[in-house]
Amino acid sequence: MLEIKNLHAEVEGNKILRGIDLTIKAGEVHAIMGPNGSGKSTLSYVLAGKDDYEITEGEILFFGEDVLEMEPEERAAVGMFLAMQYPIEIPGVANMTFLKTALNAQRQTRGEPELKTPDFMKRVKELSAKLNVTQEMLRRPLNVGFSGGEKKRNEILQMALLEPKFCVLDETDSGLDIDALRIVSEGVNALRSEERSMLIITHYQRLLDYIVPDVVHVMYQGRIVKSGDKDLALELEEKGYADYTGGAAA
Amino acid sequence: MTLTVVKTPSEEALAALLDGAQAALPGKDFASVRADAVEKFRSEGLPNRRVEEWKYSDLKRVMPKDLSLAGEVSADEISKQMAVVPRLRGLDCDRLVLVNGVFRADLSDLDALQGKVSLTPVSKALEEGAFVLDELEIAKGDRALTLNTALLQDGVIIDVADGVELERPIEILSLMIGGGMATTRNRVSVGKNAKAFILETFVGDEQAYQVNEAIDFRIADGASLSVSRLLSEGVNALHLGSTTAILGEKSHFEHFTMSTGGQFTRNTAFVKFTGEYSDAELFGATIIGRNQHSDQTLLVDHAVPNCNSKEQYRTVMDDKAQGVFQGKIFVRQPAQKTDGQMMSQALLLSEDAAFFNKPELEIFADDVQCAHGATCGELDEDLLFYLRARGIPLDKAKKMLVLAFLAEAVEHVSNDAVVEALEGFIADWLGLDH
Repeated sequence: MLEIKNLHAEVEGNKILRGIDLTIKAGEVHAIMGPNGSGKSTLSYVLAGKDDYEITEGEILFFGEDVLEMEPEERAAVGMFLAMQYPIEIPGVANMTFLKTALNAQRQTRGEPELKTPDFMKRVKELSAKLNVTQEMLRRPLNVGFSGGEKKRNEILQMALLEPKFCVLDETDSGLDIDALRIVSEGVNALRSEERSMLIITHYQRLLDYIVPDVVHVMYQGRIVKSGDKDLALELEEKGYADYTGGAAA
Repeated sequence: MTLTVVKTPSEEALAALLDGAQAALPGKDFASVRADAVEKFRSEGLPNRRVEEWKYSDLKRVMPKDLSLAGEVSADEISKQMAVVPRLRGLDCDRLVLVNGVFRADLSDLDALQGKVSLTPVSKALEEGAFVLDELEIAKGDRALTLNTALLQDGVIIDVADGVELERPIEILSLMIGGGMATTRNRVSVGKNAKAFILETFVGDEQAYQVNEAIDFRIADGASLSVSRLLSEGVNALHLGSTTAILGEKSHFEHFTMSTGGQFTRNTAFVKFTGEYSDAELFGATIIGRNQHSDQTLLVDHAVPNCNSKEQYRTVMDDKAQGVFQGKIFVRQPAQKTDGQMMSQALLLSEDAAFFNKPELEIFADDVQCAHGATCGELDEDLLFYLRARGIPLDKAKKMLVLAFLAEAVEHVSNDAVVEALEGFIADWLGLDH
């Protein structure tokens, strides 16, 4: 589904990604862990198409198509989704209006008919109930005045509604209490399927107790330095990143 | 001896128009007032960049040199234009219509207003010698008002009696057809403890025309008046608007201006507090493109203690458009415990657009809370990225953010139906489905 080959990216001359190679097959859930500053969030933004980053080398293929040639909205329409670490507040745009506009914009780009308002409302209601997203949150301006947990639940609601093929979850667990973590994880697990892949970026092994990955990668200084199964996350939790950072405390 | 400064072709044309029009304008008793105004114009000429209040809006430069009074139009032509001009539609309101500066009883909802308010055409009041200029001190000598007096044709005088609460908004719709100049002055008096909602709409065709309109609001003790003004003039229009408001004690005044149309627009609001414990909220949303020019000038006079004024204006400019905000809060020495908050925010969508932001405070009392702020910026890249990352194309994402920026000003309007209609109007302007 997704192939990242020798990806190099920099910001204002600072090299952040220094040759990422990663292949994710349909239905797989991969986790990336790594110390602060290793380039995890940069990778997520580069995948989504944020233009603050200069790609100096390498390629990203999604079902064989060159992702780096696509605008962010085109990537979304072909089925890529980034659940943001810091979902942004947009005053003046009602959450519900935003969800409907986004869904129908994607459908339009794909040449599918627009979802009619009653059908849309029905779907949003079903999904928001599961994620404990209240009617009030749907009426309010997008993310404005939402707590950290509410913002993350709203990200997962978008993911569930838009039904992407590939999801990146960038530190979705940060700022969540135990109950919120459980709700968010259940929401994510409900979306796991043979056709859908995920890349989960996290600092903590705890999230991976809830969303159990098929593969765990360790990222350090812009490269993937080790890959393994879910036990690798447990090992990191116990020992830290010292083995990969040359002994320096992470 | 009068020093004559009238010298440019457009000033000469305007002087000739003023002279030629005098005999036909209504009201013999008003003739000397007009003559003084004409004389004043002759001694001052058109305001230009050398006049501080008009520094960013040079009327001398934009006034055309071919000037004539707007003519009469057929009922057919009126209904044709009413169907196509961009305005708020589907609103439940009682409408008063002025076409080319003349009040049209035949097009107005007089039956619906019968018994609710007292209504007098300004031309009738002028003929009967019953129209008296009631100029605010802070508005005295204003150049646009001087021209308004010199050419005053018509308008409507609406009196809402003490204690009357109007349920439906009253819309004063001004329509321009076929080019030319029109000059009107409306007056709305809201009696003690009365409540009203006024909608002012300015629309016109694509001909070159000039509108000089004024409106006076008199808000009695305990009264509440909401005003929403929609300036949706034709692409070649020149619009001069002057609003004056006098607030009594414990009164409330809400004033919103939506400005989108016209080639050159200057809106001035003069607000004076004359009774304690009153508040005025003045809001505005402007969206312009091409080489449009739009100026919002404010003067708020806190003459008595314990009053609040809040001003919040938002301006969006694209292409080579120019926006101006000049706001002055004036707090006189007796006006202790005044709370005045003024904010002007501009969004520039193009490198060639320009905004002149001039907030001012002039405070003579020592126990007041006053603040002003001014910002000027571009669309936030992070907000755009978020919308695009969810599949919303760049162009649409930009429009959504522009609508959102302006909606924050629009949402201060206290009538939900009007808010919805205004947001729909902006969405239409942007070409955004809603």
